[in-house]
Amino acid sequence: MASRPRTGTEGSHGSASPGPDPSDKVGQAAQEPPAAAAQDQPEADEAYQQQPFVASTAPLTFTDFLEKMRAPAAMDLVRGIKSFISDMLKASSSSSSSSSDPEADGNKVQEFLSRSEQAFQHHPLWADSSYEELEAAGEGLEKYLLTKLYGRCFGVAAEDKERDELLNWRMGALQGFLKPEHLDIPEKYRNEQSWTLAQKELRKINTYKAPRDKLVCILNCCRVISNLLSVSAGEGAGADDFLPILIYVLILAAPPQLESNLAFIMRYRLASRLNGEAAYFYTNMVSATTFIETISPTSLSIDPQEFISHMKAAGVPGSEDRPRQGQDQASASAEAAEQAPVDQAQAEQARPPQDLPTPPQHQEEQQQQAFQAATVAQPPPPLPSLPPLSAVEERGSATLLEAEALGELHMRHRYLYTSTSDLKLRDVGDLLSEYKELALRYESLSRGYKLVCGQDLSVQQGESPPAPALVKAFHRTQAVQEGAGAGGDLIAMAALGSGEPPSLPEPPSLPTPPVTAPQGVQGSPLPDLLG
Amino acid sequence: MAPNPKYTDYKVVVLGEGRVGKTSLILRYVRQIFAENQQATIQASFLTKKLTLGNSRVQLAIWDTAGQERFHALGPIYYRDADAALLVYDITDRDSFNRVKNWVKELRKFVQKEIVVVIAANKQDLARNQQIPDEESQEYAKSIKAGHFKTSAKAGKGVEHMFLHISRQLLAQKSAEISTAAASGGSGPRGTVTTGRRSVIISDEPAGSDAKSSCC
Repeated sequence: MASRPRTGTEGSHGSASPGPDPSDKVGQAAQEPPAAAAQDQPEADEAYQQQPFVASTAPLTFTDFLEKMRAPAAMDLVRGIKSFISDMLKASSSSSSSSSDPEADGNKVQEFLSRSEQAFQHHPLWADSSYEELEAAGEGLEKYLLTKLYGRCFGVAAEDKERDELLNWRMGALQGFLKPEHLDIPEKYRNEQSWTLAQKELRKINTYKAPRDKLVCILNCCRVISNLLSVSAGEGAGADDFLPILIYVLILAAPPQLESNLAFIMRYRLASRLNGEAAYFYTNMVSATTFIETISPTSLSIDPQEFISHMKAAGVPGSEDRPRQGQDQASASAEAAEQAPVDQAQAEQARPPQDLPTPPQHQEEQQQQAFQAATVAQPPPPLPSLPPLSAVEERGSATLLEAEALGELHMRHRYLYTSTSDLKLRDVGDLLSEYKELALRYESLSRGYKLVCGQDLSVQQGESPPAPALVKAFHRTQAVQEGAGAGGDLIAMAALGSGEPPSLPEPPSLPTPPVTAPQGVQGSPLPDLLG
Repeated sequence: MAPNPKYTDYKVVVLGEGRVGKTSLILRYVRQIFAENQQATIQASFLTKKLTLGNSRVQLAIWDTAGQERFHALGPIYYRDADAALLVYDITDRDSFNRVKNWVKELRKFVQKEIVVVIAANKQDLARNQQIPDEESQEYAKSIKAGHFKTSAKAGKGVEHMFLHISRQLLAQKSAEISTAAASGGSGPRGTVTTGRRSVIISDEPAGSDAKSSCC
C-alpha cells in the first residue's frame, strides 16, 4: 500500500493495519487498542494535518490506569467509580418492571466521565501530568466503566434491536444479488483483497466492549477503503467514491448488532472525544446503515423489477404477494416510518444514526411510495383495498369490551385505570415513557397506514381525530364496568389536556424493555479496582 | 477538553451534486493541489485546516459528502451539527445549481441553529460553457444571505478567499452567539449535561451581519 506522507496516524493504515486482534480479549490489560499511533507534533504543519484519531494515548495504556487506581491516593476516586457502577446496576434491577432509558443512561455516564476527568486534572495523582497522560486516564476510565456496565448498557434498547433486525434482514437480502455496479463503483476500486480486509476489520466490532475499541474497528475498516482509494484514484478521490464502497463492504461484512454498536458508541463514548476523523468515519457508517435500511428500487442502478423480485425472493417483509400483502406492507412501512418519529424524539442530543430519515421526508416518502407502489403494482391493483380507517377503528373498538373483560387492557396499559390521586411522582417517568411509546407506535402506524392506503390518520396540527372514538369506546366499557370510575378520570384528564402535577422531574425519553443478558461477547473479567 | 486547546474547532460540510468538484476544492484549499490527471496520493473526504485570524485560531474540519442522487436523503446525517455548509455547483450544469437550492431549503428546515452558508460557483475555468449566469446565482445567494464565490479548483481561483470568508463568518457568528447568550442570562437552553452533544443555540443575529469585525 502506498503510504500517505505526513498524516498523524500513518502506519496503522491499510492492509498492514494492526487492527484489534480478535484473539485479544476485551479488557485484557496489556492490550492497547489499535490506532493509537504516535501523533505528529500538533504545530508541525499548519497547512495540512490530518487529525489523528483522538489524542494519543501511546504513552500510557489501560494497565497504567489500573495501576494508578491501586495507589492509596486513588481511594477517593475508586470509591466514586465503584459507587457509580453499582448505582447504575442497581437502577437497572430495581426498575426492571418498567423500561430503562438508554438516553438517560448515556447522559449519566457522559456526565460522570467528564466530571471524573475534571477531577483527575486537579488530583495529586496526576500532578504535573501531560495533556496526553490525562487523556489516557480518561480513556482508561471510560474503558473500565463501560466494560463493567456492558451487559447493562449494550444492545438492550428496543429501538436498537429493531434496527439491528431490520438492517440484518436487508443486508442478508442484498448479499444475494448486489454487485458493485449497482452502486456504480468504478472498476478500478474493485479490489477483492482490500474489501476483504475492510470487512474483517469491521467484523471485529463485537469482540470489543469499550466504545473506543469498537470505534477503532469502524475506523480501521474505513481506513482500508481510504487507502485503497488513494492508491487507485486517478483523480482526488473523495466521498463520492468512498461511500458506495463502504456500503458495499458493509453489506458483505454484515456484522451482527451493528446498530446497537453505533448507538452504544454515540451514547457512551465521551462526546468530546468523538471528534475529528473518528466522527467523520463514524458518521459515514451511520449513513451507510441508514442507506441500507431505507433502500428502495430507485436507490440502486438496477432494474426496479429485478430489485423487487430479488427482495421478494429473500423474503424481505413487505415484498410478499397479495393475500397477506396489506398486512405485511403495513408492518414493513411502519417499520421504516417508525424511524422518523424516533428520530424526532431524540433529535436534540441523539446520535446521528437515528436522525436519518426525518428531514428529507418528502424524498424518502416518495421512495417508500415508489417501493410500495412498485411492489404492489406487480399484481394489478396499485393500492391494496384496505377498508376505510373509520371502519377499521370501529371494529377495533368493538373488541375493546372483550379485552377489557379479560383484563388485557390493564395488562398492556398499566395506568389506564389509575386515577390522578393514585399517581405518585415517581410514576411520572414510567408514565411518560409509556406515553412516548404509544405516541411512537401511533405515529408508525399512521404513517404506515398512509403509505399503504393513502389515507391520512395522523394528527393534524394539534387535533387528534382518532381520540374521540376511542374515548367513546372507553366510556362504553366504563359504563358496563360499574365502579371502575378511575379510568374515566384518566380519560377526562387526557381530554382536558394535562393533569400533571407541577414540578415534574426531567423526563426520561424512549422506553426500552427490561435489561437482557449481555450479548455474545468474549468478555474477560476486568480486574476489580478494589481487588 | 478540546484536543488542542488553542484552536476552536468548526465543522464545515461540503455539499454538492456528484462530480461538481467538491473534493478538488477541498484538496486545493488544504494542500494546494489540483489533481487533474495525475495520481493524487491522498483521498480527501476528511481534512482539517488550521488558520489564525487576528487573535483567533481556528481549526476547520472539512467534511466531504457523497453527492450522488441516491445519497441525497442521507444529507441530514452529515450537516445536522455542522457550523458551516459549503454548497458547490458546477457552472456548466444547471441541475447542480438547482440541487444547491434544494439543499438551502433543507438546511433552513432541518438545522435549527444559524449556520454559515456559502455557495461556490465552481469550474470557472470552463466559463465558456457556463449555464448559470453569474447574476442569477449571485442574486440567489444574496436572497438567502449566503456568501457567493466564483471558484476554480483547477486554476486555484477564489478557493483560499472563500474558506477565509467562511472562517471569518464562523468567528463573527460565535461572538454574536456569545453576546446573545450573555444578554439572555447565561446558561444554555436546557440543563443538559455534556459538552460535546451540542445543545443548539439559536442566535438572533443573522449570519451575515458582521463579517469584517475580525481583521487580520
